[in-house]
Amino acid sequence: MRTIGFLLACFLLTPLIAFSGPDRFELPKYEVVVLNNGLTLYLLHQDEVPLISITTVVRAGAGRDESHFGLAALTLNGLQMGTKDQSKQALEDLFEFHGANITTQISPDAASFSLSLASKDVDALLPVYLEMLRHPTFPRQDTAKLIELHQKKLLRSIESPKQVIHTYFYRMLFNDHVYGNPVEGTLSTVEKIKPAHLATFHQTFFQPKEIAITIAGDFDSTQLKSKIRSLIEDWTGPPAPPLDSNPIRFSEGTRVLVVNKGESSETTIRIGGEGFARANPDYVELQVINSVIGQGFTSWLMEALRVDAGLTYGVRSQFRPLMQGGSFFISTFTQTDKTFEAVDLALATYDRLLNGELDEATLQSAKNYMVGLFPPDFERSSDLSNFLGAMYIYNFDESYVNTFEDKVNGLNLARANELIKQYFPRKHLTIVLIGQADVIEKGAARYGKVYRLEITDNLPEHIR
Amino acid sequence: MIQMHFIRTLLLTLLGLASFQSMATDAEDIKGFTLKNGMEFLVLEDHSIPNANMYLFWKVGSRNEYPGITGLSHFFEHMMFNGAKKYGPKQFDLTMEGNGGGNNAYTSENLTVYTDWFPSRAMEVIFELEADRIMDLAIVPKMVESERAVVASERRTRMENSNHSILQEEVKGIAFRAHPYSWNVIGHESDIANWKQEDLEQYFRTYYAPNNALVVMVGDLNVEQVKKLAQTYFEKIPGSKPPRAIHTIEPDQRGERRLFVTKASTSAPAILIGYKVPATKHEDTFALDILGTVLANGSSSRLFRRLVDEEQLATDIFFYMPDSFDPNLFYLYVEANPDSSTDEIEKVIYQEIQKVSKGGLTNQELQKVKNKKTIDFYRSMETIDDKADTIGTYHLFYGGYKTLFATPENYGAVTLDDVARVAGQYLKKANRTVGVLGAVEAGDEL
Repeated sequence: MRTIGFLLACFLLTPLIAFSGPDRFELPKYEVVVLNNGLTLYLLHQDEVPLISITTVVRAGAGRDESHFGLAALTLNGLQMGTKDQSKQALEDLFEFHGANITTQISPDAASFSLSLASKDVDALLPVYLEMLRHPTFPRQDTAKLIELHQKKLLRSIESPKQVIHTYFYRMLFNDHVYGNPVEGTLSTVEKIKPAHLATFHQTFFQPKEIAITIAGDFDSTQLKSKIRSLIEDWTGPPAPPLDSNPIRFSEGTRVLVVNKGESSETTIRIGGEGFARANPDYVELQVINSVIGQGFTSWLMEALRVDAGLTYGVRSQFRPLMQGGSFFISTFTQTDKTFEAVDLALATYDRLLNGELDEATLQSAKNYMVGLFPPDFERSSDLSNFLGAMYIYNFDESYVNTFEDKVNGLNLARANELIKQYFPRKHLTIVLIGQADVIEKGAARYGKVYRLEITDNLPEHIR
Repeated sequence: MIQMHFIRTLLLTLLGLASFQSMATDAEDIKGFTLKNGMEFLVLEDHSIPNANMYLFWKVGSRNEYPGITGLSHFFEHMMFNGAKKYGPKQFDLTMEGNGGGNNAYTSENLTVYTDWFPSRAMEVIFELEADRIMDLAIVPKMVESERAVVASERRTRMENSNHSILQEEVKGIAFRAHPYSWNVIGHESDIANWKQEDLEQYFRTYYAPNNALVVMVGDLNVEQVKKLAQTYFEKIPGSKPPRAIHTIEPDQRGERRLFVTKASTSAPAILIGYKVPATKHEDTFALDILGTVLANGSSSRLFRRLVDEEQLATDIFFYMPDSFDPNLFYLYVEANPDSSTDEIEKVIYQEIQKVSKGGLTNQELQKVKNKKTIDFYRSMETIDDKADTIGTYHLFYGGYKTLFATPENYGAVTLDDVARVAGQYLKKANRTVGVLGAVEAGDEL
């Protein structure tokens, strides 16, 4: 497997030209209905296969956890523990009998509860799915088991640095803002969560005014709208209280967190800093620039660390924009004794972008790459329902898709260099290294102040 | 009320009234042709997005290796991106991405598959890039050394982050003592460090002849255009004598095989059990897949219910059975609770298998899996990339792409007796290899 990982202009054999034309990709037409209770419904018809994807997004993300880190994630999964009419096992039997899948996803800003089903099974499954969303009972025994299972999975996750590095990184980067909270919780916070906490969280934040249900796939729109109205339009309630968080406060200077996993044969690395909020109008152009250094097989980082130096199997960079702000980071891994060679090379490669080394041909190649591979991101009905859900949560519209190609093609070198100066962090970096701390801790001091934790430690509330 | 409805739906389904619904693609839409050099093509037009793909399935995988060159198929997959005659080192990716395309590749025990995705206007460039590397790959020594380190990193990161990877390598090694399924696709660390330039050159000559490939293309294209480009760019590449068939047959297993892997830092044990089963093309494959799904896939599966939900001995369990040209393994993987006895978990697994072999499944369980397989079939045909991968996989493992469209019927034909029979026939003690990973091996605590 090659993995993700590259653009260099000087080798291009032929000058690249900009692509645009009559086949510009646009988001398929969709309909938005705001029900009388404030719940928003999105419907997008697509009949490639007789399947439907339903995504319910709720402004009930991990940012709402307060001190109970993991509560939003547990509440979301707790929806499947039972309803007034159905036990947990009866729900599992029903959905799995129909070959339907329920999936959940938690982010700092939102909880997402999705159902993939055959079109013919809407009558059998939709009422039950909506009942789970609206009237979960969080029965004590099954909910307590869910919490216990979650703890065991958290314990197991520390065996895989790739699974946990983001938790350390966000805590270090966002400090005491809620975006620094571990979305899945920690062993000590989850231990204190009781089934009643889930019920209260649901009651407070799962309010129709905070919810969008997005549906994409093969269905009859009129019938489906009417069905949903009849099932949930009488669900009323107040809006959720506003998000309670300290302002985002990024630390001064570069800080390095070394997390000790004594048995490691490699160091898992994340280097990053301040990013921006999802609503930022420059997001599309910034993705193009980021692709030059950290997306695809020709990115500068991939070329330097993997192709030329053989230091790693994979390296990438990305922005992660959220509602109130965001982050930018480079992720990679390398064998323990190459740790600093890899970090130094990643930083030196990143500096090339910051030092104005981006040229016209490289930028053109990145633009072609971004435009060329954009449509497949919206092929699956679940891609479409998830995208509509993100539009609701982050308050943007289909122009993101419909103007994507124009925005990409409109980006010129001068503008790109302005954006690089404005958005790519350099002075105040957060570096997290998970590996053999005894070997790497001392050397890490070359980047900034070093902090050390054991991978088995609880995540501290702040890393000061 | 809801439960009543559930029963009614069930009855309708059992009576066969829930019909197989229509889908945008059917078997007649797929057009095939073979070039004069033996390279086979399957093409499906799908104009839903302005993109297309090219999936090249090379009939070479870790089953074509031998001790000393284990992992070479996978390494070769990496080398195919490192320069040819016209497009030198780095140029393949630079040209493809510069034209708006992207690519990846994967290697399995049986196949090496190269996947190119692109806006359809870039199709000719893709043909040119592929033809260049298939005809004139340059195996540059400097690139070999750099790539060797990359593959070592790939191996290391997998073992660092996944207990399943650690166990699978060991279980395969014990389950197969003769057949090349014995080693992991990524190969032994010492082989990665030591294979030679001539090994790579020999591999290329042996396996990368056009008559050893199936090319599947799906998307915003037309068959005549594809045929013309295939003739222009691929037909001139000479075919060669087909590679020697893999003749090693794994000798019958005559008793349970066991192993233990110590990983001091693990928080909880894990178990991987592999049962010997026939090759994918065997008629029992569908019954075995149904059996595995009823046992261990999903929250309502028998083993998940007992081990995770009711007795809380484990945090997760799943079943998988890789597509295979030769007889391979039916795997059950369990992540145990930190304080659970793995003996007890094994006991539950064997009890549940015996219950199926003696008492069979319920009608509802059988129908559940049939419903799931029908919907999974739709899911496997949702995008142009899904379609290309699925068409190629069925063509090579299931006796032709047309069998893909018979998937619901093939699962539908499996009876309760079939499932009970395969449970008794294949999932028996003498046929299994059991691997356990834990912090301390029993007997070593004293």
